[in-house]
Amino acid sequence: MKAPISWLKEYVDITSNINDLMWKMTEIGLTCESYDEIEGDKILDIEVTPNRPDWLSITGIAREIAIIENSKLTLPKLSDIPKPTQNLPINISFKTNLTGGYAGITISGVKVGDSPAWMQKRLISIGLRPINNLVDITNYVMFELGCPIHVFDYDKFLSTDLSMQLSKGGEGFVSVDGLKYKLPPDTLIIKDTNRVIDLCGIKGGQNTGISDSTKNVFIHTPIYNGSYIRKTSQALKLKSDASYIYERGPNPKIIPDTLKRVVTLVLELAGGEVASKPIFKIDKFIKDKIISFDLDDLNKFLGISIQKELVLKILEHLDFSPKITGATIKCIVPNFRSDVNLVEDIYEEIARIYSYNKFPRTLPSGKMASVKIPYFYDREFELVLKNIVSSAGYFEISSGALTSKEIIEKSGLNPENHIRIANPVSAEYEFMRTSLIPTLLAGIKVNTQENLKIFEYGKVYFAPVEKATEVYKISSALRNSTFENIKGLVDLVLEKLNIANYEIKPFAISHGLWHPNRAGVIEMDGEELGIFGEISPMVLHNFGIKGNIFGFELDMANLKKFQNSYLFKPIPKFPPQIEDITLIIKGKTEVGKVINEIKMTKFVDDVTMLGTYQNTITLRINYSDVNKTLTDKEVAEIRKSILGTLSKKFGVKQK
Amino acid sequence: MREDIINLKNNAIGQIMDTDSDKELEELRIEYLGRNGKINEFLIDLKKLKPDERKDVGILINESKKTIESTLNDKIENLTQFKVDTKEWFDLTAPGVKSEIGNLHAQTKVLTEILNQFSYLGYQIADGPEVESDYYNFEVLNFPKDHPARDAQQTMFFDVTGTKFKPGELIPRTHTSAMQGRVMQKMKPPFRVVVPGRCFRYEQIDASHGVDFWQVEGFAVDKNITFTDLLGTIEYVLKGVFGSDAQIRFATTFFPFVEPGVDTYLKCTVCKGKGCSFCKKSGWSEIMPAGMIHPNVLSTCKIDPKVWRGFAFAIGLSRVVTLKYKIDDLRTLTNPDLRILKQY
Repeated sequence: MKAPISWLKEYVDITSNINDLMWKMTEIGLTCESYDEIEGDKILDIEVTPNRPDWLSITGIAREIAIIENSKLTLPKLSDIPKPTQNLPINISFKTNLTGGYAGITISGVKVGDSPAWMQKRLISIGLRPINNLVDITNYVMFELGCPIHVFDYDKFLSTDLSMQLSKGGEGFVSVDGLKYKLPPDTLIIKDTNRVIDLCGIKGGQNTGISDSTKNVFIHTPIYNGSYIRKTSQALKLKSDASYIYERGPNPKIIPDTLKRVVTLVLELAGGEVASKPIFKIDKFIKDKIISFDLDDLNKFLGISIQKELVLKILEHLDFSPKITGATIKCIVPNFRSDVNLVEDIYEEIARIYSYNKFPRTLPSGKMASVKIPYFYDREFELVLKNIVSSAGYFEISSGALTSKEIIEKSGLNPENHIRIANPVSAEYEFMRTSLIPTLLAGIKVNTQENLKIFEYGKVYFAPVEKATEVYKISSALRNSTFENIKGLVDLVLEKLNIANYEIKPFAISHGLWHPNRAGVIEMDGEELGIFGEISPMVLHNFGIKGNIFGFELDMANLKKFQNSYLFKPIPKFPPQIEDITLIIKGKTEVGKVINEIKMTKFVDDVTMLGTYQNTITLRINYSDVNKTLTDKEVAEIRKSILGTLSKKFGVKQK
Repeated sequence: MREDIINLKNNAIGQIMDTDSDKELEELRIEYLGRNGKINEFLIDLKKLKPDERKDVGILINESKKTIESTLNDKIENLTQFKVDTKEWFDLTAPGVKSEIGNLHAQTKVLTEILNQFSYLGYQIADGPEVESDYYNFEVLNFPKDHPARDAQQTMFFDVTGTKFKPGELIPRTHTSAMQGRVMQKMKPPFRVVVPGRCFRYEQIDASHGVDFWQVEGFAVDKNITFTDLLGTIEYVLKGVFGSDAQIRFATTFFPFVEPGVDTYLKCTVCKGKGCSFCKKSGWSEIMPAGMIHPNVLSTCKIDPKVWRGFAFAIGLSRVVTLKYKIDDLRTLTNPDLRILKQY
């Protein structure tokens, strides 16, 4: 909403400098962070919140500024509508009750021409294009008082019997600016005979619009049900200044004044004579809202005691007509304040005028919950994971959760498993991701470092949408390395979390993103801890990445579930016996399983692989007993037993 | 005489130990062990003794001589072996070899700072669905259907073809405030909750907008919570994150789920209030919308607003990150270029 200072000054004295004024306006809710300067006038740019339709008018803003400036609001002088001296009858029937009020009048013998320069200047300064005196007057008064107005060419009506009704759907409509629309059902319209002449609250029809030759006019100032106007406006993707006001609910009690103001200006600036009695359909029984509150409750709510006199003065200033009885204050809400309905709304009024910045700043003194809240999230664990991976040399990236069909397909994934956005901003952001690997690959692509190491932690989302599963993953990618490096990182993460005895399995069914053989699943007690290994060469080709990429994608919830805290173990009192054995391995033996087998042997403390050569591996085994130093003879027996088992289970022999 | 010999030996050892100078050591050798040295003087005096005393004293003199000799030789050997050439050229400025470590993202680091502030105040962290219902995202929060209050949060909708849901009923959540209803319906007050998480808006992507971004929602419900508690909590958190000299000011605003509504402005940390591109030249940055929880929201969650009061606020995490690192384009935060990641 644009508000020129010169226009505001017509209704209120302004003495503050522009920056002070703007901050004071912002402080009480009329957010104003900038202004334009046009021909010496300052045009404020005000962000009007949707609860304050009264601020969508210059007088409404002036009313608020009067409080800041501690001055009086002077509204435009209104003259009574003269008695009709001509007779251009009009009759409107209401076939819906979606009007909150209605006024209309005919005027004959007007002369269409330019509006006066002062009016044009004001309209231009708030961003409107002057059209002709009649249309300009309706726009001017709409922005002055906050109630939309429309003017029809009376002579273009096919009948003087108009009817306001809901559309059946499919009716054609051409707006004053010449655009064609097909109306959805339940659109509020006005018809003469069978023609739609007004798309209520949004745009008038071309068929009854004002032209240079217009002589006789029908002017109306209706109030419509905002949610109907909003539905139509959204369905047709058509907005106007009027529809913007209607959606927010203008004050029905302003209709008579609006009509008076328009008629006065038309007669003054376009000539003519009143040609009908005004039509008024106004609910005179809209009751004033009365809200009472206790001063003590106000103070308990706010946390400070504001003096009674000051509370009354603020409410007085806001036109709430406060009456105090004992400690209770009764307010009558002014009719332009549709947003004030509860005591809390009154509390806000007092607090904002008192100034939020005068309040002391305290901290709550109450008890804290002694139980875990629902949806509790263990962020400590997230940081533990991230710290392990980053201390291993990986850089954390952060990416968006939305992806495209193209990326999904390039990644060897199936779009069917993805939750889809029906109205995406663009095809790039149409699906919720099911893996973090594709954005890591994109990260690999933008960087040139040979041994790049990156990771991401975040949610992935799986269809179906009505039972969406959202899980956190931690995923990594490294370029031009070896399988041992990614395996080492997996082992490191699991070791740091004290997860032992996990199993590594090949994929049961192939996974498009990963290499069919050089990647697999990490399992613990039949549950998947994650996937790791080499990314599918086909996927890398699709992404235009050369060389090998290794990575993992681990499941946060299962890592958390299977993690164990480390308990202190005393340093052994007796030195271990350490020996290296070289084993001859048959063709497809899984070395990991061989090592695990040795590890499970009694008195074996640790097994590490020293190296491989042709068909042999060399292992270093630590033997120890907490109660004594093992003798060579004892170690020989353990070794014999190990070799026996290895030979039986794996056909492995010592070299 | 015995005593003299022992004293001589001790003196000699003391002097030898006390010096690191080759020259002095040579002088000591001559003084004690030289032809006319003190040891030889004793040997000459030996003749003056009675024959039965000579043997024992002779042995003592010889032992002392050996001890002095070996001490002197050890000292000389030590000096030559461990002597440091003080004139040696050594370049302390030559580059070191760094361990290869990675780095956490700025967003992770800043979020940790923010959440720490809340944990000092007794807040617990909650995490909830991003595939959300219109009910929790809007309705519980007092957003009527077909109301322009929804315009401030341009919303995307999920494709619900083939489900029992109507279009628009399932959405990517537009704000972490959606968690208010979820927590409040499951737990009796008092509670203090903070919800970091991703939100989605239908926005054209540019330097200051994204289709997804991060918020940190906080809310507390208790019997005696006041408006000043809300203002104080905001101040505590922002000063914790931006430093105790951070300046903030409050203004009135409107969100359907709070009353009164509060907007928080932080004096621009980039230009210190002079006006720059970060604060749209205003000197202040809008950073933390807040308010007292609307009684309708409490009632909808079956919490009696006559007994309980609460406040709620949201921090734009991405905004805090860009302010702290002076990043002028939101898209930088999702850029995986290592030259950026290394700076966090």
